[in-house]
Amino acid sequence: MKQIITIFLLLSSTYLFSQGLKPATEVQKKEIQTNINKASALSNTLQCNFVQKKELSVLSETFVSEGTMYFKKQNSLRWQYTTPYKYLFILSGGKVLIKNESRTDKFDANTNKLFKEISEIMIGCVNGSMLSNDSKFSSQYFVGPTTVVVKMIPKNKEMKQLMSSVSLTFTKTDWLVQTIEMVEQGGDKTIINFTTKNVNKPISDDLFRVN
Amino acid sequence: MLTNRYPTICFVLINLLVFVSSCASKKAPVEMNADIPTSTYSCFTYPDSTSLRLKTTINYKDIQMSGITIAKMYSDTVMGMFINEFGVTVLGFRTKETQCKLFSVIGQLDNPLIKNELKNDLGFIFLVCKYPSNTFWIDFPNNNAINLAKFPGLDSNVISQRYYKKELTGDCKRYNDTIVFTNKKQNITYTFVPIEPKK
Repeated sequence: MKQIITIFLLLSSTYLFSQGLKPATEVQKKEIQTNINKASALSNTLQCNFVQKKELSVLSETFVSEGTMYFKKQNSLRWQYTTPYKYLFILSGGKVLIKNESRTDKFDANTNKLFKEISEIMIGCVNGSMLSNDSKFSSQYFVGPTTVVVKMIPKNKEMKQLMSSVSLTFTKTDWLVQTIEMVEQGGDKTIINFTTKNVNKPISDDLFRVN
Repeated sequence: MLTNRYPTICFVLINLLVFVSSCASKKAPVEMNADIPTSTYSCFTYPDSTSLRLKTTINYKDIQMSGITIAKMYSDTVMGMFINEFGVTVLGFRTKETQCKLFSVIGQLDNPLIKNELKNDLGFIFLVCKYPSNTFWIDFPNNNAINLAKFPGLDSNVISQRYYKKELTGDCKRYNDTIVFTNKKQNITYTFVPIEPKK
């Protein structure tokens, strides 16, 4: 098992180097954290479209879905898939609303372990708070010409069951998350790419209404 | 003379009766004879070059699990993955005739009883097999049987029914392009709606 993890880490490091990324020095790491925290502090709302690609290694298939994401401080998130299926996820005030084409469910985020983990990852990725979550993730920083990649390895059992790593790519221009890449234990990948980012554009509270 | 032959006549008659009753059975073995014309049974039509993509919901009591099933046929084997809307892999399955194996099962479902139900149900839903065209039944060695017929009085949406030791344990129904499988014993409903390819 240790050998497999070592090979996996070596391969992923090789991939990062091939993208022109180099491991960050301690000074660079601090600078990156400062820039991301600054950008996050200045972003009260964020609205963007996203393209989600799920790569299924067993079937050699990629499944693409698209949608819109709305984020409002402190922890309000609306994650909406529009194609090829309609699916809505709202997290607000610790409550979750899930609406698909056949029904709507509302529950306390803390009562559903899976959604609690997913919610924490989503919010943490969007507002950058995941970088400071040292209790749940160990992180490696990589610097490229225009981007910065933070690779996070989960520490706890629940997170490990969901994924083996999460990589967040930030652009050096706005220091907001550009891409989220989640790698599962079996090797399947989910890549979410954010486009048309709107920062601090007013977003109605109605979009985060759970009740 | 007749008295002497009586045991022989009885023996022949009993054998004849057994032979006739076995011929009268509706069930046919799943092993194929090259001379008999065959048909292929499958709930879904698999695309030649790409995968089958289905919006999927699984309902049990008041719990619903939703996501996407992506399935591909390789010769006589169907490989499938069930992912949730966020892209998290829920489980993978591989079916060949009535044998189904699960893999990459998410922690929340990693329970022997749940896995056994899912294995049996997915194995039946994604079953692809050949059967003699002149029969209404397919029998399998593990006491499972499939009724392919639409007998009078049977719901016209029924595609097939699953029996275990002659007890009805599930059925597959088609409503337009939607396939619904109901596990009659556990009251689990699986709904599959095809996703149109992007134009």
